[in-house]
Amino acid sequence: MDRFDETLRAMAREEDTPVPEGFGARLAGTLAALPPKNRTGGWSLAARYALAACLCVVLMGTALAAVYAAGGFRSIQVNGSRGYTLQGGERRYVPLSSLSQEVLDLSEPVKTVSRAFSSLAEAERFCGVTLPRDPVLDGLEDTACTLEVSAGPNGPNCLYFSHHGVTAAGQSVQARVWLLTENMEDGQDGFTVKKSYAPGVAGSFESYTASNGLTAFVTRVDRTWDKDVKYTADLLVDGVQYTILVWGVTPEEVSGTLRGVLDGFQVE
Amino acid sequence: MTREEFSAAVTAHGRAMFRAARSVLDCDADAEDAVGEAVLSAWKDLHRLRDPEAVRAWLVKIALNCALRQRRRKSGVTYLEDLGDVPAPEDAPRYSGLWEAVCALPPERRAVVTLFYYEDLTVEQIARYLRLPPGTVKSRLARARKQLKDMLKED
Repeated sequence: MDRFDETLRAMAREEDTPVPEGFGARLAGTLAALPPKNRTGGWSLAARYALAACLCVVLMGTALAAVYAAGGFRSIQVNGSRGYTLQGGERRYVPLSSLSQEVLDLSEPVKTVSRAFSSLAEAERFCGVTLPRDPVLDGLEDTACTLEVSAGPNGPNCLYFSHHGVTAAGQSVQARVWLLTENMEDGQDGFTVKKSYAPGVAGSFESYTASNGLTAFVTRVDRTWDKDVKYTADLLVDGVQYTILVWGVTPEEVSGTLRGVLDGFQVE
Repeated sequence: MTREEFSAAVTAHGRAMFRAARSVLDCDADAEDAVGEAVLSAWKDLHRLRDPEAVRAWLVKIALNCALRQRRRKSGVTYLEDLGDVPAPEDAPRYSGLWEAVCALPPERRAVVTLFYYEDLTVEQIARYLRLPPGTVKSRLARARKQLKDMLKED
């Protein structure tokens, strides 16, 4: 331990490490969902974790589990300069009978299981679902897609797709998609989503109405510790929740790519 | 330890658990998932906590293990957030705090630094936590220390 080490330890003691918005509430939700200690013959650890995760999804809405009005947000409330709140809307819940046998076989009761695919389209085929089409997302190169299937006691609750790729112009794009099943339909109204910047991070919030009529809430993050600019758009497309993230060097390029994705959605 | 005491301990040390998980994972959301898994794991194995006074270190270690497991599970996934090199010292931006600088370190150094500076663990303890030879921990710590010196130096 030299003097520099002591300085760093002192800094570490004094600093408040930033945690994600809503972390404390979600942690409280997990604690509230802990099973009784004297339970015997109960679920496995993974099952309990999945149950807690599901409860968090229902109770806290996850970090991004917004409900939007069809075609747009019902209301947007900006919380000062550091955050915003999204409320209201309707989501689509797919019937279990429409899912492929492969995804039903992959799903395990009260667990979250994942599988890797080379693209979103491949993951969709595996699941037997067709997500809203978008030529920009479909045209990404060097793609990879992770599918996470969360299930309750009655089967799959949520199919989560995380699709990465780069545009021909070299912009990095990620689409996060939450497709809920009929198992999540009860008690799903009245979501509120709050997002805010971590201390020290600058950026802006804005609403964007795409040429197809979709409204997305766009967050720009000017990262302080690297050169990248990040734009995030939260929106609902035909009742399916999307978060689109685009990274790049200049705000103009990044926002242009994001607008291309949002304008490109083919809405029914 | 009662359920209330356990909840109080997790609430008090949740931030440290998050920090430990984030030090081996590449995004906040994954770290939070690891904390959730760690809470349930800790609750299940509460009978293994011999010394309630050491509950913080115990929770942090479980969070770290959950994060390491998650990293292994997702080892094939590259997070786009993390593309790009750490900026060279001459054009590096100013860091407003230690954690911001730590997050900019390469992942293998982040965990070592977090456990050493934030959790006050020794090199030997870190080696056990991360299942690394002590020499590797020392060298990673030395490189991270040098990098942090550059990142945090004042003009």
